[in-house]
Amino acid sequence: MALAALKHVRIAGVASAVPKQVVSNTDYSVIPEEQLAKIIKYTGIRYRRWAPKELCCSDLCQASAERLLEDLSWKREDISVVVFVSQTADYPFPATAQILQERLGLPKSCLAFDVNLGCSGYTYGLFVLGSLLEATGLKRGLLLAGDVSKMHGDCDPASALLFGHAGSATAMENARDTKPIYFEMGSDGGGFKVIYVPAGGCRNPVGANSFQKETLESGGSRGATDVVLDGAEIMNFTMREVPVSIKRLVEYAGRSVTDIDAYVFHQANLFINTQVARKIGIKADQTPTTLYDFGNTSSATIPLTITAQLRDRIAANSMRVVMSGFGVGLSWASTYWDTENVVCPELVEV
Amino acid sequence: MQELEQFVTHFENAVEGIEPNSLTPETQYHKIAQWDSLALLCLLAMIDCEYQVQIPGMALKQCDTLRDVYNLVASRKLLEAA
Repeated sequence: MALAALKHVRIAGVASAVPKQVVSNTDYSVIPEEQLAKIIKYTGIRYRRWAPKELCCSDLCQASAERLLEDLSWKREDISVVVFVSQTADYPFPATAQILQERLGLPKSCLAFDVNLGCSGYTYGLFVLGSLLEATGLKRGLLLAGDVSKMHGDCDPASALLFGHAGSATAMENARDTKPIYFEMGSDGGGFKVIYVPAGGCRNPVGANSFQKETLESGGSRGATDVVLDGAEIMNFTMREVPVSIKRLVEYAGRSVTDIDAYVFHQANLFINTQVARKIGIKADQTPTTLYDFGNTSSATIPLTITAQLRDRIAANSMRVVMSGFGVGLSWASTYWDTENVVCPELVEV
Repeated sequence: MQELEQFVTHFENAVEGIEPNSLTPETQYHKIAQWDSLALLCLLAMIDCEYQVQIPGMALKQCDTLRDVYNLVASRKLLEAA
């Protein structure tokens, strides 16, 4: 487990965007109504936002960034770094960060690159961008994070009801007089098959057989280009790594778990997040959630929860916030952040 | 023995829809009407909460009765303590 602190960068603003279209999990007809109600209760997910075919993650990130830059009154020429964190890039190559540099009207002097992470991607991204700014002294950067993933089989109840679409933009800048941002991060690649898409990369290129559906024990079916989710092992991984990560982080930041105003967890499953809260020893009202309305939006869940649930509080007060992303990789990253003068626009709908 | 009975009670409380005192150590837990993937998550959460160990899904699949699951949990606890 890696502990680190960034002492001379601050998070200046957070914005999020979702597609307008709402889908309801109550409309899913593959499984009986009673079982569906139980899944909705345990996952906490009732509605999800769904992108039309032509809308990519980069479009949602761009919309978030446009709004955030406007509200911050930042000049585009002051931005030196663009990091795009996603598992749904526009093309196999080039990186989407370059495309966004041009679309956002940012200078050619920008560093721009992609990071392939999901559940832990937002907090990882804060560390990657913050470290670059701090190490180089470059003035300002944008973290663009989210996913528009359709890599789940509609016929597999284990994944069909979980994912929604969202993008986000977070502004970071070099700052002399600011409070440190603390991080605790780790990886467990031995569990990569706990959440993965078997076909579509170099290891298993897509072929004619990739789309054949295999019948599952649950009664559903899944092809090789659909996501595989092992709920039991996700639960075990989360219980094993996340509470201890958060406790170590909070201690490293010189705080106790009860000092924290809000714990913003990656939003994947309400039951699992409730167990994490129990294990840390915190109350449910310290853990804002957006699962009911938006589901799991991958690396966008944390900024989206800040936008949808903490916006007014963050604008009005300084808050002690812990953010924790955990999942696909397997990978996790937790962040302690003393918020200060954060610009947080209302949710953008595209 | 008392600990095994306690384990069965924890299981009854953890999994939704089970009547108190309706199961025994010899119950084939995976054959009860309430057993599904969500019940599995509830069982794992209960084991983590009450016994502070994690049981791999594959190891759990080898267990037929609640007694088997309890024995697995007890052996994990011993391993952790060693």
